[in-house]
Amino acid sequence: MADITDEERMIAVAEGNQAAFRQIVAVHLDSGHAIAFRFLGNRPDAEEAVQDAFTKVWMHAARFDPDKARFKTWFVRILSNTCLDRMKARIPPAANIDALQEVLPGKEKPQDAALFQKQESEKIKQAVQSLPERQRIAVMLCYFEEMTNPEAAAAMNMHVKALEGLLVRARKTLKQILGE
Amino acid sequence: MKDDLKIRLKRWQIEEPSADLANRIATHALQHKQIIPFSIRLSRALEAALTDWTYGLAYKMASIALIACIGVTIGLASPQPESLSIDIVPLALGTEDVEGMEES
Repeated sequence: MADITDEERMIAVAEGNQAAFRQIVAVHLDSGHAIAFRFLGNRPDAEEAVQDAFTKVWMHAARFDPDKARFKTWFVRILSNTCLDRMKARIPPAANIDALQEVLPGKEKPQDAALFQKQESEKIKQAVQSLPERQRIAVMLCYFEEMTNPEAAAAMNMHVKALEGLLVRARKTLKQILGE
Repeated sequence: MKDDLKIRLKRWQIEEPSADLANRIATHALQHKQIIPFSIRLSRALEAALTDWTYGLAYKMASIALIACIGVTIGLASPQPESLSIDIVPLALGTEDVEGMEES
């Protein structure tokens, strides 16, 4: 299984090979779920988005061209578009004052490391989610998924220079919000 | 190069996916029919037709029959060639003058 590349598996998937498709799902599920979770902020939505994205991979496998892009690049593009569609479709949740109180630094120091970690995590989540759409995608792919700039640019269907511009602006905003 | 912002961002904790998610996704996706673009279907059919003589045999036989019919129809419809006069045969053979000289 390890010797076979994703691109070779996708050739089999395009010919209707269900076992190859299950392998593709197994290999990319965790990273796909992580991307969707960071986009959508909760597990049920993330799982549905990943399911939709993999369904598209199965249905449109014949369109994948290994000469044009790596599988991961193609998949991330499908997944990020699916997440964006879901975000546009849903009603924005009303701000939860209690949650914000929990995140904002109070006079008292966090009682333990777990609470501090939770607050830190929530702060980062809100900072990243406050970024404009394309900056957020750029940050997700380059900083969380460790994609190279050319790979992320290909996944976002844009020039590398444009991606670098997005990252510069995103870093500036994140540093302001996170107080770095 | 150490990137403090990147290290800090990694502290964002995310929940693990459900244990049966991979199976659920595969089962859901495999219920759908694969969509194959027309250009790919056409190229696959052409490749099969050229490599496997039994592929699309009915279509191949029908195509041959159709081509034969068109050939016969055109053959019957086109004007018949005028039959060669026997007089021009020596001319064509280049023997007319020789015979004429012999007679004179």
